[in-house]
Amino acid sequence: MASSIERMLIEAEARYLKPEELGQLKAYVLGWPKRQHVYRILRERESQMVSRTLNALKQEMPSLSGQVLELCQRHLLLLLRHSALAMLLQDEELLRERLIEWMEEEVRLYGLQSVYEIAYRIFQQELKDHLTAGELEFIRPFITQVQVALLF
Amino acid sequence: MTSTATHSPNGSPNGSAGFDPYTPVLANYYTPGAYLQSDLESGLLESRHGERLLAIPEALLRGIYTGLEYETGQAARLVLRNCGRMWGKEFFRRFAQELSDYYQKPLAELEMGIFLQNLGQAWKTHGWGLIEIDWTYKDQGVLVVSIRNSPFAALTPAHFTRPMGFLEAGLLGTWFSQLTGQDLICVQTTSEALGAKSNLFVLTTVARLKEGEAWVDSGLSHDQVLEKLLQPT
Repeated sequence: MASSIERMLIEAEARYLKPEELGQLKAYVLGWPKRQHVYRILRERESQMVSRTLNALKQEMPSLSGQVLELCQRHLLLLLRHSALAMLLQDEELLRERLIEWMEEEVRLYGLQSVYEIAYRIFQQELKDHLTAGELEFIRPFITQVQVALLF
Repeated sequence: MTSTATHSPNGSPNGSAGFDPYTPVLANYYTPGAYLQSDLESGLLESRHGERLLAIPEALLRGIYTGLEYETGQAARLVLRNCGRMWGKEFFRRFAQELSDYYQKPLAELEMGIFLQNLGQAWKTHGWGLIEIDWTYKDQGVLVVSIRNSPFAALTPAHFTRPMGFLEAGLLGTWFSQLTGQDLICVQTTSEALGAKSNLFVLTTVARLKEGEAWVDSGLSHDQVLEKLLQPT
């Protein structure tokens, strides 16, 4: 569950939730159906969005090696899957713990920054093509969080 | 937390052809949230592989340092190094087993990047600090390992005027011996306990580094030790 809610529930040990805490919990629950809807779309479209991004990337950077493309594919899948889960659970810490630290290191190790500047631009466009503006707002902050951490 | 239920043992987990949404993309085995598990009923800490883990309080580590010095004097170094060796042997076995099970291939076939990433994460998740390996001198048969935020350095009694990370040195020596199949020895050349930015360890064959501790005893810096090792004989 979202780490902020988890913390709140620990703090509320052996007492009632305050009105604002209850409000936070309620908002989390009420937002679930929409988040689940977006989660399902991402799961269904993942294959298409990632393949299309990789194809476009290959066209823009024809000299990329197979190894880099494979790494890029793995990273895009990880990015989408972790972001989808972080969005579903509204857990902003999940990405840092499970994904960003890991990817940062690999991006540095393989010198992927310039490749990823292009890959992220293409991928953000892919997301726009597959999601409505309303749906996009759910997932974009998480994707952007990773992008900012990796590229700036 | 774990999603091993959908792990297909025969398929290719990183699936290059098509992306099955239920086939995991393997990455960070040592994610703390997934790796460290506690069982309330039995009161035990376990790894996600099911091996027992122990949390060591700082007071115990401090007590080991001072107790050993009181009981054995100079020999404390040797005791710590030997403990480190046993620990290294066991930790390497566990690390190799965990990663080869997770990635479904022997450790030797893992990509270097993935291997190093996992090593760094394993160190971090176990609370041993941030480890980095410097391969600059690998062609000359010398490795330099840096560990920052080491709890073993942080708890070193204040009266020591030389690096005292014999436990870590033993651990690293054995760990890399097992990894490379060569008999390597490890000497610590700088310590956070003495104000250095990181704990630096130098590794090479036993024959080349047999005087390493004496060099450090005589006050040689990290660069001077490296220079001695790298100069042609």
